[in-house]
Amino acid sequence: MAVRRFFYVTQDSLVVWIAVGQTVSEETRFPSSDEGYGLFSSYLERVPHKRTLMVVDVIEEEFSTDSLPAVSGSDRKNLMERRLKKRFSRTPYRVGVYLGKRRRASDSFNAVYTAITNHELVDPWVEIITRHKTPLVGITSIPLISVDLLKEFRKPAENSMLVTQHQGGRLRLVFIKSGQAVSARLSRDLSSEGDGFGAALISEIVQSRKYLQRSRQIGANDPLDVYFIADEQAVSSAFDESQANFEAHIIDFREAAKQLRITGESTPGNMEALYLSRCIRKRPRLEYVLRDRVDYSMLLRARNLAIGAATAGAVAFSVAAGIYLTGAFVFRNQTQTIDAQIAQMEETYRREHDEFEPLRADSHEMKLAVDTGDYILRNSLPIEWVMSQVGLVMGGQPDMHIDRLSWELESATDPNETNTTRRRNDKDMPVNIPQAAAVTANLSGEIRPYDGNLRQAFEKIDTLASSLQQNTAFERVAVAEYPIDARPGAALSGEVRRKDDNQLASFSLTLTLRIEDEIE
Amino acid sequence: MKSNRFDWTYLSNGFFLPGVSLLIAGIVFGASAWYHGTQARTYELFSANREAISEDYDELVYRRRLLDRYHRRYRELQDLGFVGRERRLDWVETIRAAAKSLDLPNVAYSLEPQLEVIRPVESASPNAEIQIYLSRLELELGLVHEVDLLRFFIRLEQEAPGLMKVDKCSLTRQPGAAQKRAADTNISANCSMIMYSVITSDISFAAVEPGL
Repeated sequence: MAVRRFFYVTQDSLVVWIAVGQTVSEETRFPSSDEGYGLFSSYLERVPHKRTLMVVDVIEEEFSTDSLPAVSGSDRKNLMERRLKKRFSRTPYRVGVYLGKRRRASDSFNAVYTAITNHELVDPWVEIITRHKTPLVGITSIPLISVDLLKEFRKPAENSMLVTQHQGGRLRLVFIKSGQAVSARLSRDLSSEGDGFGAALISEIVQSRKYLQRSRQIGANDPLDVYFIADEQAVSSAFDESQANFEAHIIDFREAAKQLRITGESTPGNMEALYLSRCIRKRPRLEYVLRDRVDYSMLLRARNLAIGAATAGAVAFSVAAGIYLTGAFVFRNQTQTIDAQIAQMEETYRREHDEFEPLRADSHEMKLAVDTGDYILRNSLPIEWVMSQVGLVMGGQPDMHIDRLSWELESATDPNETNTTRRRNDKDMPVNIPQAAAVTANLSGEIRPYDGNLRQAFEKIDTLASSLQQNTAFERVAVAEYPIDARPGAALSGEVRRKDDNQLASFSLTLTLRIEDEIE
Repeated sequence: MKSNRFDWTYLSNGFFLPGVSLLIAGIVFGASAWYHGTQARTYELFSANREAISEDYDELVYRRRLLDRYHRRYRELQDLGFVGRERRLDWVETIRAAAKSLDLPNVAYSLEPQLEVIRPVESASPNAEIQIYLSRLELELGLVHEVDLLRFFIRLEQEAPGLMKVDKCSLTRQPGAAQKRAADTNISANCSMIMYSVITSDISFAAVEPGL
């Protein structure tokens, strides 16, 4: 989460800067006095929970280089921590930076320690911030940000110095060695110099170089690249006339502001905005470690995380609950619909059933009983059928007298199976219903009166058979017996008397109707 | 910035509302999940019931069709006496009554013991259980006229309980019939017939008549 508020602490004030897009805007200013502290406290009371970065820009910030033995890991960390504490024991605002090997062939390693030596400049503000539980993400300083700022515009040389104008006419001079700030100065106010600003500027740089040489941070003949972020036209003439032993690089403040996407008007006399804008884009690499205080920034982050997680969880639960409830209501509606259908079906079922009370027979049983009855009827012959069929013909044959008429319904199945008479040893064996295949009728009688004319008798019998064949449903009518058996193969005998009034001409017919097909 | 202190009050400040929301949402979620599960189970149960009832209903519709188709015929067969227990007493009474009313010279009857019959048709339902029985009846009749035989059987068909099937019959004119009186036996008839009866569930449950 980007920092959107800055507390810019100077020797005599704290300025609140608010991030507006990629740039910053000065919101309010509190003097370093009891009244200022009170006003600052009131301000924080109104807007306490805003992530804030404190940027310190004071004279009392010291740098100290150190040579470390070849140790690494936690040993080096502990060693640096001890030496840092030893060198800056009176201030909590201190930090150590490991720089690496001093020289390629060397066994010693470099470190630089930085501290705000006059912590009383910062403490009152930090106390108020802590009291209001304002989430302070870190405390840094202008020299610590300088390296990051310079890298935005130029690649720093081995020995570089970034010079910017601060707090009106003051110059901030930060010496950067091997990409790390190792010394910093804040000059006197040069705004009163007027036309001599250029010369004063050169003078300040020269003084700084001398100081660096005295403190053996740079050799007398070592090159020094000085980077100015200023009005190019105003300072270029000063450098043209200078014979100083450094190389000047002028970065026009307008170009710098443009590169950092700072909107609004910028002035070379107030470069704080440049540093703070850099902090909006990227958190400074180096910050002072604030010890023995509650880290409300971390707590705010944790709290926001917890609140976010709780809110997200609540939303997720709510959505899931909504989905479940929707599903449940859909199920409920469908269940109600089904319930209504079931009730309707049960009612219909009951009504349908009631219609057939008090019959207890199952519908399948009914069908079986009816089908059985139909089967029996299909395989039956009406009692009057044979008599009525014969009667159709016999009415026209007055001299043909029937003495015996018999008929039988023949079965197509095995006679043993169709035997419907109980046999001795099959008392409990069920029998079959005989399947009708044909009806056979036997008709026997005599011709009366009969005059002894056998030929005529034969003719009458044949006529009767033919008539039965044509006029009845019998499909086959055969003469079984004539008055005499005149077939060549048969034995024939008779007696002729002179007077015989009791001559008989008997006959017999067999009538057959196959009803198997009709039944099927 | 490092710190070795912790401020629980600060951390919990502002968390109350989201925490309560989370708790309530969790409870609502749990309740809705439970309610959903309950409704889903109820739905499955009702669906299964509906399927079962639907199958029953389909069966009912099928049975209804069967009933529509067979009920009337079943009733007819029941009225006919085919569906029901064999009532031999009724038969004997009917034979005697028919013989008397037709003024037949003589009627002799012979009933064989009842036999169980193999079902000639199969049922789609394995639960459909009916018992079919037959009894063979031999008749010897002395007739004045052959039409008496038809009248006699018509009476039997109308009044004797059961489904009757005549499978054999013979009519023989008595010698010298022309000289006999009108009330004497002119024709003798021998007929073999079968009386069928069916026992269904409603017959099984019905009370048995005394003496039968």
